[in-house]
Amino acid sequence: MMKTLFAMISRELKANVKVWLIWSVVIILFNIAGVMKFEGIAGGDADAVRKLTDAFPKVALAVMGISDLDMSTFAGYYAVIEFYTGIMAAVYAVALARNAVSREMTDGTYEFLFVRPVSRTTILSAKLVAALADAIAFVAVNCVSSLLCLRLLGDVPGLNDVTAATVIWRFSVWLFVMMLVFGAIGACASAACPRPEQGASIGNASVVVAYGAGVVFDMFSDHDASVVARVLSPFRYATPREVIDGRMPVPFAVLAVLIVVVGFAAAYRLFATRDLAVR
Amino acid sequence: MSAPMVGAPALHVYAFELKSQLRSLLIGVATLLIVTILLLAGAYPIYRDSKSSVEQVIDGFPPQFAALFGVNDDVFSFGGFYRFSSLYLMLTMAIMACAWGLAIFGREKRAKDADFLFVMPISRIAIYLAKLAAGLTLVIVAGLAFLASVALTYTRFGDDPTATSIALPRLLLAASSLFGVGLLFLAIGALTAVLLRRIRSVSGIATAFGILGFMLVSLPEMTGEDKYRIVAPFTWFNVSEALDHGRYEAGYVALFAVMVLVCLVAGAIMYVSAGFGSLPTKEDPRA
Repeated sequence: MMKTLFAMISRELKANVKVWLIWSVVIILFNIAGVMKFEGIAGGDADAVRKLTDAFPKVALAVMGISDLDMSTFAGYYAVIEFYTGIMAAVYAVALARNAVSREMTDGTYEFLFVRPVSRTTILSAKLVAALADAIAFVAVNCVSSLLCLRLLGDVPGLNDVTAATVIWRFSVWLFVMMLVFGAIGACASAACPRPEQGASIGNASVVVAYGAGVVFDMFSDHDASVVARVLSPFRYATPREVIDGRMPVPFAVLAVLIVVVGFAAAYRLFATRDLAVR
Repeated sequence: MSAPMVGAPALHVYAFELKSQLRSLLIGVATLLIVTILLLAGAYPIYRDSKSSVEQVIDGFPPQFAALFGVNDDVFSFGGFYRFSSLYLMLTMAIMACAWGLAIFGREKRAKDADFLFVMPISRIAIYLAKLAAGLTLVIVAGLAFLASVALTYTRFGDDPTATSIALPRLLLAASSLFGVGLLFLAIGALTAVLLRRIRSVSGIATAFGILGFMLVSLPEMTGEDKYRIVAPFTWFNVSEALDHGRYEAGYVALFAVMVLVCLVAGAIMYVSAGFGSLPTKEDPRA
């Protein structure tokens, strides 16, 4: 029993490794290009830049992609980099979840697997465990390459290595939570749709919608109604400033947990009763 | 074989691909128009109204701080806002066009029925060209709908001097950058579809490529180094240059043209010469 489980997991990991390598290389290059260029901005007077940021209306800042961040500090600069990384991670998480649930559907090989003496729940578990391992490895690559870039950065005035490393750790946790949330959405959509491509489209659309809602939230976070945009955008369940400070509003933490639990539970239920006939 | 015999099947392929993508075209165009209207007609007026309060603050600072934020007179103009918005519009177009390229050129791989198409009395290059024509039609239709919506929104700002200072043809030229982005990502999608042995998810690959293109823009923007523009396709179409001087940079346009040609020609060569062994068939789903 355990042996079959491990066989399935390792087979799944092998099938995922090429795509994982591509994403990892992209993220390492992005970190090198991004983090290494921080010195250029750090030269300015931090206090004045902060005042300027505070004075700007949210709409203007959001359009410039800064939102409420202090770009003169490493934390603020890194937050902008991590926002892009977060979108990438979300797309990757949806792909991982989709592959776990319906790759063999597209390939027409589920028939061969379902006749084996293992339950569908075990099959899906093995596939999701492999996907989870890939997600953790992806977050680790981002975290380690960021920390290494930080070390390569050398002496930048006003840069505290310990606080900077803490910020990197906190964003790594945020990144992993994002991957869980979008993985749950992707898994649920893939299991719910009879046609695999349809499920994938819904998963990917959720990332794009979340991104758009995030921009809208940044623009209008002064207004009360912006909470609607925030609910729609997991990227903003914790705002960059909250991640830097290492906190997250409780209602949104609960919402994130709910999405993950309900998403994966629904995926298991739907997967167990899924019809093989539709391809 | 006489000309009509070759022409008619190619036309069938063209019409079939157009019809298959009709729903995706409608969704895509609707998304593009909603994003355009939300940004230009919805967010811009709010953004513009914040100008005076920001200027008050900026006056109290040395000019280099303003420069750090990229703040100059241009930023709070219609043109400045369009420049920011164009990034999001390009992202929408890139995902759409890439999905069309993948869906059209990867159809037989996904359905595993390439053998049925290739035994028809029509050359493979004719099939490739018919599919390409269908893809181009989609990009052009979406682009034209976008141009029309930009022009319509523009007329709403007749009382805004920063908008009227930009002649409509220049704005349309800047908006035409979406044709470029569309064409480029269509070509990238087409080549990817031909290259990949299997296409599991059109939307997944298209979103990944679109977001990658979007992310790469941040490299030259955050670092301020122009050399990174080479790897950021969205920046090949310099919208500011189009708005201010009514032109695009020749070097980057050439780079764009070469990239499109390389993708399409490489795609054509591989599509024409692909052996049946590399084309999965119905009989062997795992091939």
